Amino acid sequence: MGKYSLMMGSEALVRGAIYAGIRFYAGYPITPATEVAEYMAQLLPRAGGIFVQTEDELAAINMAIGASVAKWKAMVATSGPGFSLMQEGIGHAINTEVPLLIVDVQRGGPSTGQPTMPSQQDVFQARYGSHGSYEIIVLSPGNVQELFYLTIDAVNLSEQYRTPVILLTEEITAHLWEKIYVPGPGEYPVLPHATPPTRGDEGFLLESQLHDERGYNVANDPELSAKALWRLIRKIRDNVDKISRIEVKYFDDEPSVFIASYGCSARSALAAVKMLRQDGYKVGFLRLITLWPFPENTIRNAVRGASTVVVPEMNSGYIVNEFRLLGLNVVSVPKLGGEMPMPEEVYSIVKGVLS
Amino acid sequence: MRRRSIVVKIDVDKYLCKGCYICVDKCPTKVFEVSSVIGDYGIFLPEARHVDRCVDCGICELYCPDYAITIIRSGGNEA
Amino acid sequence: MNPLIQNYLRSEYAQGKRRTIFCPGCGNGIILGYFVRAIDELKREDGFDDSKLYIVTGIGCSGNIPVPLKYNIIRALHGRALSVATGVKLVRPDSEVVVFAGDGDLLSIGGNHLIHTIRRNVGIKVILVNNMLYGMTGGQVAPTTPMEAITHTTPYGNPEPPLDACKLAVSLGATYVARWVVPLAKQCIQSIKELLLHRGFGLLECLSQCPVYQGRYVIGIDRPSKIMDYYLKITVVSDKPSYGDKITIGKFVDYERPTYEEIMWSIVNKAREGGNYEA
Repeated sequence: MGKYSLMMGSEALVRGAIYAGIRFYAGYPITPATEVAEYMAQLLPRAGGIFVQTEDELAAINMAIGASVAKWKAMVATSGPGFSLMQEGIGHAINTEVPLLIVDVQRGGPSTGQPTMPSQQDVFQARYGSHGSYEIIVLSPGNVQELFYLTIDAVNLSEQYRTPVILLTEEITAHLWEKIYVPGPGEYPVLPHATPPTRGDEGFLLESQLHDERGYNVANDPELSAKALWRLIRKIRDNVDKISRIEVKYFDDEPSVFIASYGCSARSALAAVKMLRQDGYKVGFLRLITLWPFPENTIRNAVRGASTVVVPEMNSGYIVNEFRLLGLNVVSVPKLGGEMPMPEEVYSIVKGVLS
Repeated sequence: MRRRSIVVKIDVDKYLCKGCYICVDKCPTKVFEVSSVIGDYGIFLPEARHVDRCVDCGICELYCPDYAITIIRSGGNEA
Repeated sequence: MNPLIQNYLRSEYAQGKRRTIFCPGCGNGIILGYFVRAIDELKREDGFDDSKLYIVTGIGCSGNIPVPLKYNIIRALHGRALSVATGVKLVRPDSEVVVFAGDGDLLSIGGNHLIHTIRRNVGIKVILVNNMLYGMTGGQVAPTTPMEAITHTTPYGNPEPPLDACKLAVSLGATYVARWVVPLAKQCIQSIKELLLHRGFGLLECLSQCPVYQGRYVIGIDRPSKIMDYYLKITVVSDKPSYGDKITIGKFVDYERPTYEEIMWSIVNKAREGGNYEA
């Protein structure tokens, strides 16, 4: 039996991770992801896991890769500048197919930026930050309860597809206190950990260059390299509809305008939709739970009949481009500076679109 | 003198040898010579022409970077 | 193919379908042979269990040394071998973790991790293959290149003094530090054996020849055996590390202190005594 509890987003994340079987955490203190490390340091040893505070983020993600390869599910949590430092490691985990959970508690950037303020400016870095061609799974929780469940989902996805999964949350959600339901053991599905396969008395070979099934380097062979890389890309790209999830509300009367958002901005978006509905405007609500791979088909089906999508987000307008590529009329509501887009702002912009 | 009679042959793998000639230069009794046989890498293979001089020190095996050299002793193929 | 080494190779290498990628006369292949012989001797003498062996490598020529071996091998990112190895050692404290890294990998890009791994005394064994430059990228200056040496990125002479990895390790409190040269086969094998049996962090620096770049440019000799002779000429056995005109070789430090994984696991066990975690 589970129980209800009031907790901070960071604690929910940590408890979700431990529920999902994470037993190794390596991290470097960085605002606003420090609380994740602090809760981990306290709770993980009691769950029989190991917490390490490393010398830098590069060591953190590589230690997590080592732990994941050797035995345990592992994770790292960081923010802005630390996330930039981890990018090479993310690419490494993708190429060597190491399951890993990477949490980015977004703060304002670029550079040291706004350490104590939230943002959604890492949306593209999470997708395109590492070098080379790759596909990655990025999840964006909207509230503390979802932060708990999405952490478990992220770990499960990483085990299922043997790839690192990024949980992209914001300072707001990570520092928010909400009442959540914590399920009891066995109540929520958790996948077992996958380590590299060995053959007979031969150990595995985990090659960081492009490699064949046996792990041997094929980087000098164009045909085999392309095959290796396409396999990594296709395992995500061919399963977009299985991986991606969105939340749609107020769509029954086929509204012509949707407000689409994700993460904490979606809370303002939902408030704005409710205000507009109260004033008699037909407006729908769409929230991305999976940011990447971008759920094109699901969104197309969901907003069928709509002509315009208003996208409030806490950056200079990133995800709005993906909606533009769907052939929809888009209105970007970018918000910089570290404040959430207010429901009233979104309300007045949508009202302007409708009139 | 007891050991000298044990080594019957020193085999150089012509598929693995890259022709660095460390064995030729480092053999204390100069057992090896560069032959006119061409190996898989397009190099002249070293050849243990004077096995009778061999004192079985094992240095050629130890130094060979490409594990191409095998000292074959009488009574088995043990290194 | 040498049957002793063949026993320790992955099937493709043992069947001769694949060969090592090293240049002719490269010291890396020799070190591979020493490593296999050390393990073979340990297995016969002490019943060393090589099934629990994890090998982590960095990037560079030295990162290719263990690839033919049939052990668990992780090829880490450039400079991050020690971090990955620490992760492995922490979650598998009963396993033996060996790191193969080059001088650029361990001392330049991975220098920070080296410092902190030694400080923590993580029980991993590092074999540092020092060829005094970056071989894989084509002979550029490294932190271990002697001053005034000519390389591709120091065409007018190296302006920087070299770094002594052993001195650094000793000063940081490493529990086993030794330096040998590739021509000294017995000493190298003996040192690898000591390293594998050692408890706590161990560093073996092995000066190795790179005939193609180091030989031709830094030293001015391109015959592998002559570089080996040169190495014997510039090294002296001592118990104090020094890396100048004369490079000292030998075992510098060998003692024991509590290792990181032991302390970490005692903390975990203590934390669990206070009550297990409940969701």
